[in-house]
Formats: sequence, C-alpha cells, structure tokens
Amino acid sequence: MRGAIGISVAFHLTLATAAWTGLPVLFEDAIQEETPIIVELVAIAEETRAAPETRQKEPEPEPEPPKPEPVKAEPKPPPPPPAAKPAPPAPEKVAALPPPPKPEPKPKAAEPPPPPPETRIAPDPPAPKTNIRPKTKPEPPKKTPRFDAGRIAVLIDKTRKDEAPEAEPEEAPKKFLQPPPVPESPLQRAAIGNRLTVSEVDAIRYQIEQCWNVPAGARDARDLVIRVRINLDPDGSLKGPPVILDRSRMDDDFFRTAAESAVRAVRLCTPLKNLPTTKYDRWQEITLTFNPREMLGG
Amino acid sequence: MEQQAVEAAAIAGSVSGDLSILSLVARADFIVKLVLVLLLGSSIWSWAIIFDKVRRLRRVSTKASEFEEVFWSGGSLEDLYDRIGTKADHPMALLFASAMREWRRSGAHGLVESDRLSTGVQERIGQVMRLTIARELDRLERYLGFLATVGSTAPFIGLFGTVWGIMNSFQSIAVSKNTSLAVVAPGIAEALFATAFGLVAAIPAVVAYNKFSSDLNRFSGRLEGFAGEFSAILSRQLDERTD
Repeated sequence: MRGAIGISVAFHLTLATAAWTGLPVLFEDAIQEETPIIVELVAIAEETRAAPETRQKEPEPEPEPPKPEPVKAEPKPPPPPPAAKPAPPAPEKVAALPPPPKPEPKPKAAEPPPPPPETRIAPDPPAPKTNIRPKTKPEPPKKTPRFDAGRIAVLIDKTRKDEAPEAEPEEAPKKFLQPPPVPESPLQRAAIGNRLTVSEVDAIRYQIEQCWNVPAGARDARDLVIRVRINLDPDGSLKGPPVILDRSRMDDDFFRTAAESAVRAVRLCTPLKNLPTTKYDRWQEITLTFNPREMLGG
Repeated sequence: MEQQAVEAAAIAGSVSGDLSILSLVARADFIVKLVLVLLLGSSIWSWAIIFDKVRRLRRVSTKASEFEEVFWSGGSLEDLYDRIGTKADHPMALLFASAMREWRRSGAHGLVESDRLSTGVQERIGQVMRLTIARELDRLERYLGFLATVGSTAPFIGLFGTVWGIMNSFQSIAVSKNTSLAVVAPGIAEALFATAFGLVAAIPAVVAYNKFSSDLNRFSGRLEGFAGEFSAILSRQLDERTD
C-alpha cells in the first residue's frame, strides 16, 4: 500500500505540473480577453456609410498621423548610432595599425563595414540588423490606413461587427485602446446644411444601441421591431418620456419586454452627445427603430 | 456610456487577473480551500487504492492460474502441499493449504476410519475452505468501500465548495455594488473549480470501484469453484479410504 500511495502522489504531482505548465497555455488560447473598443463617430458628415475613400479619409488622417510618427521615430534613431559607432572605432584601428599604407585607411574611414579585419566582424552585424528592422516596421503603418478605411464603415454598420475582429484581431485593440480621437466640433460641420443628414440619425442610433440589451431570449426575437419616438432638448437630453409606437402589439409579453428594454436604452443613453445644435429643429423629435435582427447579426 | 465602459475596463483590470488554476486556488476563500484540500487528499488516497488493487488483483489472478495448472497437472496433492506448505502467498494456495492442513490433521488422528466421522471431516474441510475464501476476499476487498464513498460524495463536497464560492462572489457584488461580469466571474470561476475537482476525484473512483467489484466477483466465483472441485476430490478420497 505504501508503494501505491507513492505512485499516487507522483501521479497527482505530474498532473499538477501539467496543469501548471500546460493548462494556462491552453486557457490562453481559449479565452480571448475582450478589450473594450471605444469608438465614436468622428464627425457627422452629410453622407453616411459611404464606401468612397474621399469621404472616409477626411476624418481619418487627423487621428492617424500622430501614431505612425512615433512608430517611425523609434526605428529611425537606431540607425544613426550604429553608423556613428563604426566610424569612431575605425580611426582607432587605423591608429593602432600604423604599418599599412596611409592612403588606404582614409577610404576605410569613409566605408567602415568592409575593411576592418576579422576581429571587427562582430560589431558589424548589429548595424545591418538595425537597418533591416526599419524595413519591416514601416509595414504596419502601411497596413493601418487601408485597414481603417474599411474599419470605420464596419464599425458604423453593426451587423458586420462580428466579421471585423476576425480580419485583424491583433492590431485592432492596440489602435483603439488609445484615447479616441477628439472629434471635430460638430458645430463647424453643421454649417454645411441644416437638414438632418442620415448620419445624425446614425449617430443617435449608434449611441443608443450601445445601451440596448437585446431581448435575445424572446420568441421570434428577430421580428420584434420596436419603434420609439423621442423628444429631445437641445442639450441632447429627453424632453418627455419616450413613446412606444405600435401600441397594439403591447399585448404580446415578448413585445412589451422588448419595447421596455428599448425605452430603458433610451433613458440610459440620454443625454445624447455630439449632436449639432444648429440643426436642433431637425432632431428634436425622432423616431428610432430598434431592430433586433441587426443586433443579433441576422 | 463611455464612462461605464472605462469603469468596467478598470474593474476588469483590477479584479480578474489571470485565470490559471493556481491563482484561482490562491485567491479562493478559506472554506473553498479546505474543500479543495479534502478533495485532493481523497483523490490521492483513492488513486493509491486503485494502483494497489490493480497490481494486487493482477498478481492474484496470474498466481491462481499458475496454481491451477500445477494442481490439475496430475501430480500428488500431498507433494504439492509439502511444497507449498505454510508459505502460500495467494488466496487459491491458501485455500488449498488450509483444506490440506485440516485433512492431514484429521488423518493423523485416525478420525477418518469410521463412516460417521468421515462426514464430519468433510464438513470441517468445507467449513475451513469457506472461511478461507471469506477471509481472503475480505482482504482483497479492503479499502474498496472508500472508492465507493469518494465516488458518491466527492461531487457533493465539490458542490458545497461551489455554493460557498458563489455565495462569496454575490457578497462581492453587494460590496462593490457592481454587477459587471468582471466582478462576478473570478469568484464563479474559482467556485466552479471546486465542482470540477470533485468530479475529477469522483469519476475515476466510481469507474475503478465498478471494475474492481466485478473483478472480485469473478475471482470469488473462481475460488468457490476451486473449493467445490477440491472438496469433491477429498470426499472421493475419504470414501475410498473408508470402504
């Protein structure tokens, strides 16, 4: 029995070490920590969900440049030091080795890497390495602009949200973890026209969607389209209680639950932000359509 | 909204940490730790029993086969008994030895001469063999009850740890006044770990218990069969002597 206990303890220890070394790794694969992605509509434009880059790129370049620049700044400094370093040692060598003809050392000083004898080989490689890095690093900046142009459209369109993370899951969080770019003041933009553009409805809808808990468990949840009319104050807060349209369907328990959740979402999310006050008369009364089909990714 | 998201992220950062097993255990409540230690102990003990039983049953079974081969090879049983004598080390040999010992003692005192006494001898031998079988099976079955106990109670013990841990995590909701998943999840994860551990301890115990009890059943059937055959041989011998 003694021996058996020993075997058993050893067995448990192996299991424990397996759990200690192996399982956390497995867990890391399984659990992807969700980092909150905070994205706001950068600015309210006249067109929305527009594929053309001309419109999309306008807001983008502003937040973008600051990031690529620091990235570039890092790789660039390294090259100069290596360039400077080989140079000083070369003269030393030249001084240490007087016998070789003097005309030769001077050209060597000009092109440091090749001439120094075998002993110099070690310091040389670092220089090429630092040179190689910048080549690889510039790629991310190249990728990101292309990525963002599509990304904005993806983020606005909630239905495609699931696909977006799959496309480039690694770089996305890094980019968006940084504080969201300060949007242009909507007031300046609003001067263009005082008709409420679709994107302002989108801005409202987007803000309210954030607060909406879809009643996903309901029967035929996809068909529970709720329309809520809200009256807003100029500062974006509610003027009166939200009004549920389609009252006739309130007999349905599921519909009532969903409608109440929509009203709750409206209450949670008001006051709304970033609405152009100059166009207040256009958005003081708005009918919002809550469509679970979009939230459920149908 | 933004505020909430930032808050949630901050809480997530402060609360969750990593979810590896050891950190889960380290963070757990005292009672949950106690439950885990209890389960670990019973798991170690039940695996010790499993290893021991596997080895012992296999050895006993192969020895019994070897012994049966020798027994039925046609050699003299007296010689076989002299050879095995008192150093029998497995149930079947012990069964044989105890029966032979009783036989010899009866023979030595000349008790087998009369017809009346021969039945007495037969009865005694049968009695001795029954007792030996019972004793040997009892020895083989030792600790097996513990496997059954672990199999049936370990899930409950783990469940107790889970319930306790979830109680704690609800209390932490009450304290932090925040129902975000980041507050609740670690507590529930560590709590569920107790149930997982209970199941890990219980499942092998149940499987092993079922296997061993069926193995032991088979082996006891084999011993009884051998005892029956042996007593038949002895009774034939008795009848030949008395005639």
